Amino acid sequence: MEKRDHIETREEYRTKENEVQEWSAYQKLSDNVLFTSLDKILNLGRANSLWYLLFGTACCAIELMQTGGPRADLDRFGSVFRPTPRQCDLIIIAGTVTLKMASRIKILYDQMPEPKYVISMGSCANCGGLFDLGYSVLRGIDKVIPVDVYVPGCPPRPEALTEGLLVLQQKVKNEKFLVKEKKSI
Amino acid sequence: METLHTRLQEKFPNAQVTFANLEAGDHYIIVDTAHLHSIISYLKIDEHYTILMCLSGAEDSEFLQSVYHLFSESSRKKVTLKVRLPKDNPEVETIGDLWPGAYFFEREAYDLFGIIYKNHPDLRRIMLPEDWIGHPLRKNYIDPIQYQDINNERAYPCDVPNVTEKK
Repeated sequence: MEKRDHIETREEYRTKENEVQEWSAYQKLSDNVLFTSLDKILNLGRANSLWYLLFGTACCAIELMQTGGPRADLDRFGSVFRPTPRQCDLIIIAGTVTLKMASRIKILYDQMPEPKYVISMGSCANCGGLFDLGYSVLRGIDKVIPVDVYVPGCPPRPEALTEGLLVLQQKVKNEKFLVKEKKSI
Repeated sequence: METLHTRLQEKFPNAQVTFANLEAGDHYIIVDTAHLHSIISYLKIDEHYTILMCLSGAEDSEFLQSVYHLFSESSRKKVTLKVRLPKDNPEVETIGDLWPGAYFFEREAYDLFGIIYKNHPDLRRIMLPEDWIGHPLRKNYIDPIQYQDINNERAYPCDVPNVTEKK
């Protein structure tokens, strides 16, 4: 019924002599077509499907699991975990990184396809945190791979990590994907 | 434990076996390095201290130590043995032939203290990477600032004394 009404109104418009052609076209297409720029539509898709690597190095990983769980539910932002770095857009460094692990994380990061993003989760990954004085602890993951978003906390609550993801989404949406700047370590 | 100590002295007259009686904490027996393996073997077989609870390393001002905690299920008693090793050449016989699980404890003590366990079939680092330099729980150990191609210097100076920052 609604469809028929719509066609009738369109025909009414056609009968009017002074109606602008473009307006008519807009009426025809308004239900199905979205006008936007290429960057925006690409970024919309990328920002809402940030798949993250199923990877954690210490106790922050427990909070990461909670964030992926039903209560905080990272899935509603289109972010789901993948078990291989080759399918991931995002790696969340959750926990203390030792020097032994740092080179492994570098390998994982290198295996991810571009464009790729990094969230540093918790004090340990940000700067060494509680274990800063340890002989084997890396003092911040940004010494090894470039970081997009730092989430403070020890550990951060699931809400904080969700906020971190939203900030990252905002960053992705503002990128010019077709002319991407090079990241530097 | 004092009776055990007298028994050990009777059984091993050549070995130096001293008993440390502490006001607090567990008492322990300090054993001669050369006779360690035979004493522990005697404790396991004849005295029925069948369980090796823990094998660890320690360092005090003069010596490195290898510490053995044994437990007897039949008599419900524990005994702590210590071996004192010189810091420049810390070598002691392995007890992995009595408890194969001890090989892993010994690898850890080697990793963190640099204690060499003779006749160990596979004495290499267990937790730190293989190209790590030094043994971190030694008192004179200085934390590395550079590891492989990672510069691990902290961004802000640290006020805590005796840690890192000295090159």
